Amino acid sequence: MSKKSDSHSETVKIRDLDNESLVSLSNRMRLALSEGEMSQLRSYFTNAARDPTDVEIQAMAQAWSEHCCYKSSRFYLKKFLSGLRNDSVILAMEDDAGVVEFDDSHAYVLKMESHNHPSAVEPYGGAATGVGGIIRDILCMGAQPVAVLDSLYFGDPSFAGDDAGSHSTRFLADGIVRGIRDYGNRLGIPTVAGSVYFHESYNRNPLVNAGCVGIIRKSDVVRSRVSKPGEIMVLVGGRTGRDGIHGVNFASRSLEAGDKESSKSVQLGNPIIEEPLIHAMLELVDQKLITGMKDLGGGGLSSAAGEMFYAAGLSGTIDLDRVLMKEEGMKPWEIWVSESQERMLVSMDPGSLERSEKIFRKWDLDYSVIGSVKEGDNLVLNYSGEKVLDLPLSFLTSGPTYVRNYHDGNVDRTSVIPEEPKDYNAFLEEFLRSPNVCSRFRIVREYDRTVRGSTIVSAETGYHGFTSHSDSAVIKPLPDSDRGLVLTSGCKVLMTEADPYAGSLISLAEAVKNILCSGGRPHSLVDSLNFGDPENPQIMGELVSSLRAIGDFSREMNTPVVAGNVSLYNRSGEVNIVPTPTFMMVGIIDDINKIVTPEFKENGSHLFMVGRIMPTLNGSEYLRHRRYKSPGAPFCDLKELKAISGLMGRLTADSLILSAHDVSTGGLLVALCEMAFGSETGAEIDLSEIQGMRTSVKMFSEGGNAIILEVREEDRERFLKECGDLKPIYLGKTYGNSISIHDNGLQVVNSPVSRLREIWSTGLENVL
Amino acid sequence: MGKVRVEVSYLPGVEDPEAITIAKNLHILGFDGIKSVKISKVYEFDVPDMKRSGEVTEVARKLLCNEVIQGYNVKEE
Repeated sequence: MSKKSDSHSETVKIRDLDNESLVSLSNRMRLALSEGEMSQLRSYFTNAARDPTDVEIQAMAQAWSEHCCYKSSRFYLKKFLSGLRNDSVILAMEDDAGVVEFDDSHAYVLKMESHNHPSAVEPYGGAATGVGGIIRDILCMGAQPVAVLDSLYFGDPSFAGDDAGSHSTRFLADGIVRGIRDYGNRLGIPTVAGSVYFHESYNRNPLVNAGCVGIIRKSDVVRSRVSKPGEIMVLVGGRTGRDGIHGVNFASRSLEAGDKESSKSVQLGNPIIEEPLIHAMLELVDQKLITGMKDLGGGGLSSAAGEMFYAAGLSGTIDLDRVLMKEEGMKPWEIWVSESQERMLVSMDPGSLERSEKIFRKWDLDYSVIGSVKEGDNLVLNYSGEKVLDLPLSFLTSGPTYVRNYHDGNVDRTSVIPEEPKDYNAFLEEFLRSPNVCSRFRIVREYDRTVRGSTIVSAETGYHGFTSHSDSAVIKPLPDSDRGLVLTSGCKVLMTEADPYAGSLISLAEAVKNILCSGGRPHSLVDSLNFGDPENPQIMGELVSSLRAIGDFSREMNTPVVAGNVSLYNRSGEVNIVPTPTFMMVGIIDDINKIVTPEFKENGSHLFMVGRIMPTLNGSEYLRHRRYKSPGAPFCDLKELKAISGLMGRLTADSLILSAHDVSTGGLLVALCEMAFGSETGAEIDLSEIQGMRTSVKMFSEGGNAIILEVREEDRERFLKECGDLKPIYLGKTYGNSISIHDNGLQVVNSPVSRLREIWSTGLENVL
Repeated sequence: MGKVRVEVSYLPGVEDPEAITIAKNLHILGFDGIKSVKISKVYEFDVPDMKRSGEVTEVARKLLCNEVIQGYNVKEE
């Protein structure tokens, strides 16, 4: 590199470099670009007959990172996920978040994103900024954020870290939960739902998937683009510092042992700035002062400004020296790619500046006018009057698309059925205590779930003193409407591990069942796809299978996919994470007075099961608990799920069900226990009506569409008539205060609910 | 009986929102002579056998600090 004495940028001589030197340059400058990509840059500048500045080369690396341009997944995303929309969709896969109709005059905004790599090296800051980032994604559409969801995936609870610098699961889980708690609680946005899963493949690479939902008047939706030449660009909120430099480049490669080099890639959050930022932005939207808005997340100013100009077919000039800084002496390229948090970029008519400034001052926010919009294709960056970048946006955004090779793993279609446990009562206690079956109270109770006063159902439900988990959270976003949003997120990890295609369908079906069991109807979907190293064809095959499943599901169930995020290179050393597509689904309930929760409501009512249980233990928590490796996952019957979906709508509308809970992790037995935990009531169950499988399969099979419903004696006939061809199976009655299970004339389980509840409730306290 | 003090603080360049907020509020209260604030945490360990004081360093490294953003300083007294 060479630098003229009075210049603010350096010239990077790449035209004369051979391929080997290009690679070492990429490593030295931490660009994370491949040899092919570097030589593409070389040919561009050879044609342009000049060498790039360091600002230009850093900007290119940023724009072409996996994180920003989805180079490994774009081809397949387009192939499988385009056109998955319906009439209720207002914006899908276009801007920072999806926008879907809520009622005649309002829309809801949703998005989920991963923050895996930062959380692996600095769990507290990584998770906190994950929450801050996803809230800004919702905010930048002009919407008021109303709820946060988190799906977390941790390593084996006993993993104690290693001397190469990997943290223990306990340290990571503790930091991540505190990070989410401190950020969400301080902003005053409730954290209402999500999922937690422990698996050894996440030992050194935990996953943090944060989702957010917001509400907005349809006429107020703000696009992530500028509108016309002459507008000014204003950067508001946090100042720009060296934190988070190269974050996206970091996220676009695998984690290495003792990744201390990553310290500068970690952003630290400051919710005390984001809170007033939310108020100020919503006031700008309300007073129609801005034409476009985008949050600064991965890729910083570089991504935000570039995309806002490019999406409008326009360009612009940015003066980097007008960006407010946290520290002195930052180089122009550092300012351009910094991922400092809590910043928003807005475009506005110059005439709106005065009124906007009043709002910024009222909320005590730093801001500066950093540039303007102009015609043409070339983006120009200046620093103290010197031009440090001059590149066509079409080139900047022309990141490579890789059609990576993949091969579909052969899925083993056999079945494993271990011998029956000798003592089911003892086994049930051990199973309820295990980290993936026990309650998540230890985590969810850290979060403020009711702030804003619009949470109708949070992650906890049940009568006073008898708490269980709800299937999904319900939010009433508008003060003068009883219409509610039903929210759920998660992934059936053992199923996707066994078969990425079938497992993704089962994960999606579970989201549907969660919404149905709360009285809602599934409405839209976003994904956060976490996979290992895409350069490995097997891993690529997992991603492709999962995408195919999402496409098939969306078309069959008429549920649009409105936004998404892909996180690749989730690999540490030789270990890739198991395929983990997290799905966040939003449902709508027309009248929140019709909400259904899982706890038993009455003593002596009937328990039915609609939807089939699969005659296999594949992909079940039971099999894993018994230390068997699972063959392929069962297939999900979407036609049946559709019928159940229709049925649940009718049953909820007619108030024919007292409680509902889907058969999920842990199977039928755990589902019944969870229904009992939320009340004082137990159940007398006879499984004999489920035919053609062993007792353990009936009790622990997962992956089918089964839902357990509680029905009053006087509603029984109407209920059966409504069910029609779905022919529910009679399980028994709510009764007494024990869980009693019979099968084929033998009593296999008989345990007091209070004892089981105590074991289940405190399970996580033993490990975290 | 010896005492071992461990001070854990953020590495240079890592932003500490708590310290920034304190500084900002001090200025609001009129303490204009103060430019910035740094916060660190001090742990004091009683170690009867100072030959084993190395354990404190191990605790500091493994449990008290995340070396990605924090540094620690061990002092025997």
